[in-house]
Amino acid sequence: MNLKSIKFPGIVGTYTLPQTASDLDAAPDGYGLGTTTPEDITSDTQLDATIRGGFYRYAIADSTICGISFSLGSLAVYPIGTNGAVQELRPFRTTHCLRRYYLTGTWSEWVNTDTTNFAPNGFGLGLNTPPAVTTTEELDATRKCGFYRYAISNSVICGISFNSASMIVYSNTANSCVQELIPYKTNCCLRRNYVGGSTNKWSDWELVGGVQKLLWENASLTSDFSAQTIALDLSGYDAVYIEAVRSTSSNVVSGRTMVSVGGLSGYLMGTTDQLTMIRREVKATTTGVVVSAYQSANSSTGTSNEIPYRIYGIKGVSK
Amino acid sequence: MKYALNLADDGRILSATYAEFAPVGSVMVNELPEGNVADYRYVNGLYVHDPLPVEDDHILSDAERIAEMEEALAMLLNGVTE
Repeated sequence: MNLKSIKFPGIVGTYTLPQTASDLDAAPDGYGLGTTTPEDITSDTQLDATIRGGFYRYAIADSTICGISFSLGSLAVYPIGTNGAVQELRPFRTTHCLRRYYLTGTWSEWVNTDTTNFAPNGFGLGLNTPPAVTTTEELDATRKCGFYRYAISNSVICGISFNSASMIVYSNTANSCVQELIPYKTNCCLRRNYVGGSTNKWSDWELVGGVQKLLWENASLTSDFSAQTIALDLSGYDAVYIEAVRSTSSNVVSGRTMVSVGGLSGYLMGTTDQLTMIRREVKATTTGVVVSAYQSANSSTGTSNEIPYRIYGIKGVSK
Repeated sequence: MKYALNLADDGRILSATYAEFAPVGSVMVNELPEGNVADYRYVNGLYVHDPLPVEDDHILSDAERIAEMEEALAMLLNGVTE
């Protein structure tokens, strides 16, 4: 024991030297500095009271803050003055950083400052352009809940050709999820599911419900439309739905019909401006739609009435 | 805006659609001729105004059809009674 009598202005006493950090209430050891196991914070009351600068171990079991569930974390307190401080809490085994501030007796709400792997900015939530999936390997590996942008060019799934799609992943567990694709400019939905564990595979894609895709539109409805073949790749469709306008001078949709691809002919039925019945024969093959000139009830023919307007590909109906 | 032309063997414009619907190998143009595109042929990158001869595209009105039928009926009745 090294006892020395030391004098400070106004203070006289006997002290033990050397002084330890804890004797001095100072770092190292004080407030967690230089230690692997800092002081535990075990209750909300204790947490709220911790405004002195230092490092602590958050040990409040079954905590949930900002949607993050944890029981252990690293806590740092940055003091500003006697009436102000900032607490930063990093839940163990996560990358999240939760932060709140203290001002004259009141704590703010916690906020999660780590947005790289957490909604709203993570996983596409609230974004116009969510994260892109650009390869099939990346697609297979995308199994976390979220919104994505499918961007694999020249894709053909269930007969639907597309270059991009909106994509949603519904996760159930780490070993179970569902992917849904809505190809751009279509109303169809493609779906498959993943089973992990010993199975560890994706199912085949399935077309959910039907599909209707605009394949062709007449760019000049005021022009005569003679007999012709409109070249279209219909190999992925069961049928086509065709709309026609009444005439080159009256562009109101009047005739509609649906014909099977590779099936029998159908007719676009309509009337002239004078309400005389007319029809055009239409036939769909895998390479296009064959449209005849129109024929009226008295067998006269022409090209200025029942003008094809739009052709949609239909999948999910009987051929 | 771009358009895809559907051409007959002689270059006659059969129809036009928008570029996004163009099949592979389509003839693409930046503008369509004014008016009835079927009045034009597309030859060597140029539009040639070449309207087809006007065919009898007349469609009988209901009144005309009724008149025709009445006339035919009258002829038929005459044949039966004479």
